[in-house]
Amino acid sequence: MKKIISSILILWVTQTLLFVGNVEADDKIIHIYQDADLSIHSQSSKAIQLGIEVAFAEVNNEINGNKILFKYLDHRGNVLRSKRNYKAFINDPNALVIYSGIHSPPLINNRKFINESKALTLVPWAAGAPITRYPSKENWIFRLSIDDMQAGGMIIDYAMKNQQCRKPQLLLENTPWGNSNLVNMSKALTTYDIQSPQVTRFNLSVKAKGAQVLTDSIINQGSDCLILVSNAVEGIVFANAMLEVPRSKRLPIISHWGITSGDLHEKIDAKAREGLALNFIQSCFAFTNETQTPLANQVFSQLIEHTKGIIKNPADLQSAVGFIHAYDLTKLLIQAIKQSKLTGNTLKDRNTIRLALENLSNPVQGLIKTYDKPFSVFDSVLNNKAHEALNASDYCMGYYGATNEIIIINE
Amino acid sequence: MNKTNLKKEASNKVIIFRTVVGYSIGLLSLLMLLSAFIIIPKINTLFEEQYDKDTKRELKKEVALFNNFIESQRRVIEDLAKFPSITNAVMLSDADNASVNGLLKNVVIGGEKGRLVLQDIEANVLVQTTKQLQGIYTNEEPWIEEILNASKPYHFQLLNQSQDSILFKISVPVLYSGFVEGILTGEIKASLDDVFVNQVLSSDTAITLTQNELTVGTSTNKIVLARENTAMLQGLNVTFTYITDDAPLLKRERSVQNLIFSVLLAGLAVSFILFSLLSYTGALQRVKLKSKENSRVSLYSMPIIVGVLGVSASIITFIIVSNAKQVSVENNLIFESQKHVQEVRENLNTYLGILDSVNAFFSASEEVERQDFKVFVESFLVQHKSIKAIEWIPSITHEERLVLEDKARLEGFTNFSINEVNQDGNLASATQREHYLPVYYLEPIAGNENALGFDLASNPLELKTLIKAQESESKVATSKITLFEEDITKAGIFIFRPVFYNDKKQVTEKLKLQGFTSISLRVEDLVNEVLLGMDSNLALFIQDISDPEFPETLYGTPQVVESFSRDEIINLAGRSWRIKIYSKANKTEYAQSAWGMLITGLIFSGIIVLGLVHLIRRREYVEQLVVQRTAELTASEEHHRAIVELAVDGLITIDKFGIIERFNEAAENIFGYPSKEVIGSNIKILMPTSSHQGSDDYFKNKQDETKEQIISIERYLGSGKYAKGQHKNGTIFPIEVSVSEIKLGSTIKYSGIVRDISDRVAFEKEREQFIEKLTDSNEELERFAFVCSHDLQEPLRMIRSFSEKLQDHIKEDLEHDEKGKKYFNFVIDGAIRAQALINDILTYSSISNDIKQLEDVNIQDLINVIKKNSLDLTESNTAEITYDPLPNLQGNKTQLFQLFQNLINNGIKYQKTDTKAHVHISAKEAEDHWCFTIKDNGIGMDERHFKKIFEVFQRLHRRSQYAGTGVGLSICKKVVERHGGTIWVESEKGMGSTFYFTLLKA
Repeated sequence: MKKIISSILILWVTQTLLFVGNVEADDKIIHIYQDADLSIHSQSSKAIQLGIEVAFAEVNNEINGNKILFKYLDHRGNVLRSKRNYKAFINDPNALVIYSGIHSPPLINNRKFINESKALTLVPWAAGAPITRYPSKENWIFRLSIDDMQAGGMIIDYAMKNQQCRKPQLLLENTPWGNSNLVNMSKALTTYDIQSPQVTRFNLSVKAKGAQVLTDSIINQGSDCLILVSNAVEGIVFANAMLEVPRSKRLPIISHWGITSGDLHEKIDAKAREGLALNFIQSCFAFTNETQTPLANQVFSQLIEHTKGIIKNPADLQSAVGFIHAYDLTKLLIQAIKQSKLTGNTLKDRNTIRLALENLSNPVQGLIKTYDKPFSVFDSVLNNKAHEALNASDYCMGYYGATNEIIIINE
Repeated sequence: MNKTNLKKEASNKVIIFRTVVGYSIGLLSLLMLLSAFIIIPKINTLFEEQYDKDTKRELKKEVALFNNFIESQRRVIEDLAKFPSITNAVMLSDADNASVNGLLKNVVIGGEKGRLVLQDIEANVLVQTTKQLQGIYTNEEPWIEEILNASKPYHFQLLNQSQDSILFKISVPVLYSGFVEGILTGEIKASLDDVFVNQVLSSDTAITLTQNELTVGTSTNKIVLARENTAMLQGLNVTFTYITDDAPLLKRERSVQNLIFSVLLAGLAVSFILFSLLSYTGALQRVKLKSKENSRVSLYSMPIIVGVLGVSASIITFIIVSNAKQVSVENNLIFESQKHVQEVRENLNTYLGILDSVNAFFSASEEVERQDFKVFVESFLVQHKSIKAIEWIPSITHEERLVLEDKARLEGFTNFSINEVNQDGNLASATQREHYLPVYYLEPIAGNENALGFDLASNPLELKTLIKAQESESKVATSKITLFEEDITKAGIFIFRPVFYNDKKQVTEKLKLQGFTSISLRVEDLVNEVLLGMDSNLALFIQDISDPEFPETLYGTPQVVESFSRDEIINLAGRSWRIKIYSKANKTEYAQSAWGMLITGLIFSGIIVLGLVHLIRRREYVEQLVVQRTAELTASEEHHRAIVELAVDGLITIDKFGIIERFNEAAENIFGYPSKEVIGSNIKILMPTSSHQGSDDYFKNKQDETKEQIISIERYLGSGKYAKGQHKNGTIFPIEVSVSEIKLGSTIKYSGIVRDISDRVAFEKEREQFIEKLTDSNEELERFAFVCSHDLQEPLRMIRSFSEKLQDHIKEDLEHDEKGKKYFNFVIDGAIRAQALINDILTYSSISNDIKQLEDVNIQDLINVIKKNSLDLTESNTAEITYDPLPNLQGNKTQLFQLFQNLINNGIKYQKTDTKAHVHISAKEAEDHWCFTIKDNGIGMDERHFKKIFEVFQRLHRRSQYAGTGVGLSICKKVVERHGGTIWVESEKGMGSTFYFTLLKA
């Protein structure tokens, strides 16, 4: 009888312990969010997701005993939907960081909300200058991407120097991102004695007819270059509009990198692109570069493995820059988590990591470069690039190759 | 000849024409009946079906037109929503986008500046081109979610109606790359003519659109009998109702019906008149032509026509009276209905006007004190008893609650607090909430005490209405509610109107709510106001049909009986009421008088027809009787004529003057005169001159009527009188005359049968001579037989007596001489038998002689004697004689004794050896004779001997078996025949015999 009771007790204790163990295991889940355009510019978002996943896969999706789970939310570029997603993130007790996708407007418009909500945000792909420049020491947005403040100058430089533009036309989407570029590019043009650049704004979802009218107008104004700030959807419309123009009248397009966020390379295929001078800014690393570091090779192998062979060649990776930036950014995040002590209190942990990011103790090798203290405490006057992991030296111009791959011009 | 033909031809034409007219009447009558029961109902059905089809087709067309209109309006909004700047604005939730504002504010829709609203995915209004929006754009609205999650391509909503235009809104998604990123709504005001663009709205059609609780549409005021055909426009969530007026259809049906009947009736009347005339002329002709053909048909045609006409007229009267009654009732109902619904409408408008006044009072005043409110509304309450209460409902926050409650208490309402109905259904202090909408000012307080302080925000139904009123910035009525202090069965309504602060600075800024003015009405009082002047035969039923799926009864009960009714729909502050007015008298009651007329008409027609038929049948019977009797008479006449003509005897009829009037063929043969020659001549021509005197005397006396004596008439009257006739050739011959007198009214005639008896007279003479000779011969024969018999008896007696003496003499010698004994026996026996035979022959031959010596014979006594004699001879135990009571007879006693004795003795004699003989005598009375039966149980006989036994000397058995002469039964036969009877036998061998014979009674 005693034996039976003892057995039952032992079983009960064992079950209870196992249950407690399970609960503890459940509690140690970390949710990694992404709030991005999963619908219209899904390629870029997908590339970012791959970058995050491959980087976390290197640590077996577990850091400091915390299992990593991914939650991807679609904002489709809508500011409010992004805010709604952010609210979901903020209210998730296991959510640690949230990655953005392309589209600067949600980040710019919701910047105050994000910072006030202490939503730790990592930006692998959104160039709007204001994103990381929230006027507070407690800045919750970190970027490893192209920064308009720095990219604008580079694009203008490329246009003016490499493309020999004399009368460039700024064609900017009518959004905060466009506004951001208007400021920076205008500033850059002043160095080429262009005080009042020709500027044309367009709205999202501009249609072919509208684009045609605008393009004709730009050509009629005597512009010799088109500096385009647009994402893929509108980029395609304008590329097509330019292709409609007689070849002799076509203007070279020097674009911001938003056009690589979608399927432009498919809609404007290699043959069409032959009649179009289209260059865009990218970060300097690409898997298509001739020389690849061992890390790059290893990462690509991991990517092949992660995608179970769907991606075999660099050309297969669309919106590759999304992957590259997300991978490097995640490596920085992992490093920050590793050097933090997670408490299980999400709000605290988010702040701990934020602080750790600003104070990464060790250099982190990434695909683009080795990051040594990439972030620091933000100061809008003294240190306004404090949350920018890349700088202008990391930017290169690129173009689509014959197999739709992005080729970096390393000059 | 020509004249006759012309007459016949004319007669034929009349008959043909009459037949045609007769058929016409029949046909028209048939058509009448068919019309009443088949054709008209069928025509009505066809009208109905066609009307229904037309209506449905119209409905379909109108729906299509309406859909097209809405589609075109939708396209305008959708095209606008495709503007990139709009996409931009919603993507960025950019409310300050100047280009978008500029764009939308410059849009013109339907000739007016567009009333547009742009919302982002959170339903935030980014742009609104007017502050006077009627729609509700909060994100609680389900349509917003439906559009944003792309489950609905667009949203259509009716907003309101003012005069001849309606306001509706169309909301479409703003898309970016195919995804919904915002909503653009256009509130579009369109005139009814534009909405129902190609619809030629005549006064007898109307269209209404119903959505949720709102109904808008064209006027139904002129529609008398509404027929509603509805279609649910799924995409729009609108019930499209095409209302047509049935009154013209009914009018058309009735006019067609009356026209058909009028035409038929006229045709019938004309045909009937013609038929009557022609029947009359035909009857005259028929009398002349003695034509009996078709007489029966003609006889009955009149009642048939009268019957058909009566029935038809009754039916027509019934239908026309029914129609007239129905029309009268319907017209009355329509008139009353329009009048009273208009009254209700006007009353409600008055109340809405009062609410507006109260509202304006608050809007115009900085602050309205309770006393001011009371003074202001008092006059309204005095004038309008249906108003249950007028209220002021301020919108207050929780912070303001205590201040407000204290203020009210200071004003004298010491127990004032803001209340709500708690879970137990009791009034309790309202639980804490952000905002309250308490009834703060209320007049009259008496009867509404519990309502004071009640927080309308605590009641979901009222709160919903209040929010709606606030959003739409207009008056909104509640659905059915039970007012405070009221019976739960009594319906009431609130009408709220919001009061806003007048400090709105921006177009997009929402007006700040100050509170609500409210008026509460009791539906029953509303109705009672109207009922005062209403026909008591009418009943009201009011229903709130704002939500078509869940109509609420506000007043009355729906009538399900067959009664006339009429619907009117009135719109009251965002709600739709259906007012149904019933005529309490149902159709059956209305039809009763018509049915009464129909039944009376049919009964009356039936009586007339039956009367006519009876008269005709009677006349027909009499005519038939006359015909029958005439035929019988004719036949009898013919028969008699034939008898007379073909009679073997001469038949002569003379008048009272002796003038021959009829002289048949036999008479012609008897007298040698042809009839032509003697008819008209005096009877004397047929009589020899010697007979004239008697004849003259008779006739002279007969003519002398004053004497009235008939002399010598006996000589002629009666039958079998012998007279003498004279042949034409002068021969006088015996005739037998039978004369009878015939009286025909006052005329006397004589009919005589004459038979020429010349041959008979000669024959009778010859017979008499023969009988005389035969009598002589018979007498001689009888005498010879008697003598012979008598003379033969002597020698026989000698033979016998001397043989016996000789036998006795030689007795000793014969003792040993057997042969000698035997020879003696033969001789003696032969002599005895010869004697018996001779006696019998004597008896037989003497029978006829005694027949005339009749005497009264008691047969029973006779039998008794025979019985005694016979039984003495036989052993008593070997025979039995029985008899029934037997009659007395007139006859020859001796012969009758012989008759019975022979038959009884035969019965005993011809007997089986081991059987006791039994003879039974009975008699049965017949009309003029007795039938005697003598039955024995003897040896019987074969049928072949039944006649033979009655012949003389016939025997059936050897003498050694049964002794006898063979004369007995011959004697019996002769006796019976001599007594005028017959004798016969029935027998079966071994079973006995029964002898029957009849004897005359006297």
